[in-house]
Amino acid sequence: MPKQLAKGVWLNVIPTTQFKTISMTVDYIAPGNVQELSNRILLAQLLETSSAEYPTQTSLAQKLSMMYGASYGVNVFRYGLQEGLRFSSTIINDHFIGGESLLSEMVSFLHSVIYRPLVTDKAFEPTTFGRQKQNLMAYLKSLNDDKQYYAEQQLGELYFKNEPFFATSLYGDAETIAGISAQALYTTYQQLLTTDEIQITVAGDVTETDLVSMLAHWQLQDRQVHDGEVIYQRPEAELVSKTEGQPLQQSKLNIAYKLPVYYRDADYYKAIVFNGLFGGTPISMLFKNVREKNSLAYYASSRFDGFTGTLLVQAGIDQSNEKAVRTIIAEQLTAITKGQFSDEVFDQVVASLINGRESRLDSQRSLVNQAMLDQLLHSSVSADDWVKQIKQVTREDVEKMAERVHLQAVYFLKGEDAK
Amino acid sequence: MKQKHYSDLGETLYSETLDNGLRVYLLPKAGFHKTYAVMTTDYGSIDQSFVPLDGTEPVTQPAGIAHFLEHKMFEKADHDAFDTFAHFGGSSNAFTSYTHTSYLFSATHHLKENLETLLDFVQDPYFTAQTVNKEKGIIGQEIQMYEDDPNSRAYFGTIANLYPDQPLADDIAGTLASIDKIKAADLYLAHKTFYHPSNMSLFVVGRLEPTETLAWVKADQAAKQFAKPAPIKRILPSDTQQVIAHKKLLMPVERPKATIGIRGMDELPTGIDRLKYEDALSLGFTLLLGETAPDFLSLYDQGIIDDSFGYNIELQRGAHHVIMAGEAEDPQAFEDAIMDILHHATDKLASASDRFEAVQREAIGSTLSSFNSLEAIANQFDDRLYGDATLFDEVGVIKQLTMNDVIQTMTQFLSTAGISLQEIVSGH
Repeated sequence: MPKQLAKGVWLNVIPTTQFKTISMTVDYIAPGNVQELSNRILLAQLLETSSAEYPTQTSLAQKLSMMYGASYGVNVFRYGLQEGLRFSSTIINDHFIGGESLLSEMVSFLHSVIYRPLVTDKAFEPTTFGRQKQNLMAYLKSLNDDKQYYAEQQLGELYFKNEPFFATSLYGDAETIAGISAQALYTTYQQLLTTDEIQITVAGDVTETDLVSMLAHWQLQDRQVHDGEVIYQRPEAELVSKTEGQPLQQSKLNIAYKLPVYYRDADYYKAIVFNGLFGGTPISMLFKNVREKNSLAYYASSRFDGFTGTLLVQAGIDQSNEKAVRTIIAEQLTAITKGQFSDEVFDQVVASLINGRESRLDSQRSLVNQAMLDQLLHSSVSADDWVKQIKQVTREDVEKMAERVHLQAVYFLKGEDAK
Repeated sequence: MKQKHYSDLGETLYSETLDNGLRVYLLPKAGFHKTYAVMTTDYGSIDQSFVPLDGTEPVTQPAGIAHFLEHKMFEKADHDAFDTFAHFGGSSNAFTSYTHTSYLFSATHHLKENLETLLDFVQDPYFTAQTVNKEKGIIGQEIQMYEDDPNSRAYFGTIANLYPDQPLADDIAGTLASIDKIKAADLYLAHKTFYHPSNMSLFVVGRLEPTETLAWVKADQAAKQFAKPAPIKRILPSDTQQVIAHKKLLMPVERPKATIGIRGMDELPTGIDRLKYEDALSLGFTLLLGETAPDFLSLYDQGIIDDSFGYNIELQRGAHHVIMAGEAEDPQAFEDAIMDILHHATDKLASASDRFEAVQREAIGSTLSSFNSLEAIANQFDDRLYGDATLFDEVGVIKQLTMNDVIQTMTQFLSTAGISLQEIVSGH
């Protein structure tokens, strides 16, 4: 059970000897919007590379190297309506390096980089701020060189055209970032530190008592508990389509459907099995029919997001095959509604999903994420319970689930005149 | 069954070479829920020319055949191996490199059944003209996907610049034209020659009981017939050791990319000394261009490199090189700056001894961390490259390295190395 360190400040400790490392995350969480998301992206870029105690990358890197190559990163996450600024660090368990206590050193290090940023006159230090802002803008540009990412982002902008927060990439909005000043960002950061909900999550060979005593020095204060709604129910909308041409060898077909089922709802497990059968596994109908049977793609898959009730399909294809592939995808959905799939494949999908869920218990990062998310949602489902729920899903449940899938947006990145 | 305990890692590795030559490695990991198994043949994209098993005349096969074979192994006369794994909850995959092809699964249940599925599908080929032709469309899309990826083009372009007259110059997947020539008979021939158990290893890690697991593998292998093992005769074209110094590729990119390849022409030591060489090189480049290096900060502050900058030390059968890559507004300035640092490497290293302990600790920590991941352990394991030594010996090797070792190795590597710059700039 998580421990409340102050009002709105939670500590989740997962004691385990399974790993050679101890992993710790400190998350600052609040309801999101485009401005705040962009602020956080720029904060992540800035705070990952500088602080008052470690003003340059080299001084920061030297410190981490001396801690046996401890990792340190700052990034931004989004779960439905909530967004978080995450500081994370992983160290080697003392047992393997002998004598030293890296854990308390890491906890002090995180406190230093989070609470003592590189600041002059109540603004982030201007040279570092300017360089990191420029680096971030350059990075945003280069993201578009990854066409799979680009196509998915374009589809997101179509599907969420009335919800800018969801239409914005997790790397922020370039125009908004361009307008952020060193002073405004520092003010925002101070507010974030005092008003955001905090979740500290630690997995490894540690005890809660040790962590509580090490974190006492942080003097974390009570804060207002904010609107914790995570799920976003996007309203049904008209179908929107867009085709864009670029000089590429491979075209990208991305499709968004609404599937109004949400994380840990009664129907959630049915949607998981449906997605596994439709395109979420290498034994799925999309993989079998688009790739294996008709040789039309190297990748053809689907993904279900239970925080927004969205089903996404993606395939990399030849530009001349757009119609054929769209037809095959639509046929697979219809086939599922009619129960046109074997018991054997249904059982294989269920077994694959169970394997995937149980395998996550072997990932320190997954354990940390799940603990944080459980606290955010004020609910938890153990791997065993998850497996039980998945096993209860029937063929008929999956057929009915396919009927609730509604086509909402199609984006086609058409390869033209490459070579 | 041999058993070796590594006290600094807290790991015990079990191994045995079976009668048919298959090398089996088993690493139980307490607390883990899944088991990961990978079966690897010492055969990759560069092994295009060879004398077939029980043949006398050399043959040359189309570029990309090892990767094509990897794709086609899954499909059988009446089923697909993916489905058999899935039946037992196993998740399966495969990958091909320049020198190896690996088949894997991970599973939280039915280890015996999944292991047998792995051994069966890798050792029992089934190809027809029809199934081979069908795969050409799928791999064609895979090739075209990578053709559109500037980072992939930069990497493979650099390797090709470093080894222009060697099969390393061909992309691992081949080209649309080369895979079009592949026939079922070619795949059978390659399989017969390179998939003999004596050219393969099996690594199983995670939730397992070593004695029981080995017994399953032994029983499976004892029930199968194999040809008598024979040494494999690979044929490589003569190597002029000339590198292509500079190439520029136009692509519709938003940001230019620069990649520098450094090809070692020096002869590598053998056994554990080779592991020591590799780790010394790794520490050397970290001291020169890692984030703790003053030159890193200087180039970063000048905007010549950014957070995308990184480098990789690669050592494989018959080749070793270092690849450095990043996005660079000015690829020429990137090249000039890196060349200048490499040119003064010995002096720069001589004055870096105060940072040696830090990079040494970092390397120890990074190796220890990799033992968290079943996939990382099994995929990185190579039991032929370093004689009797393996990655399990790496922490010990790094601990014993001195600044002097690093300077000597870096000097040996850089003094005869061939260097190439691959630029990717906007245009089409």
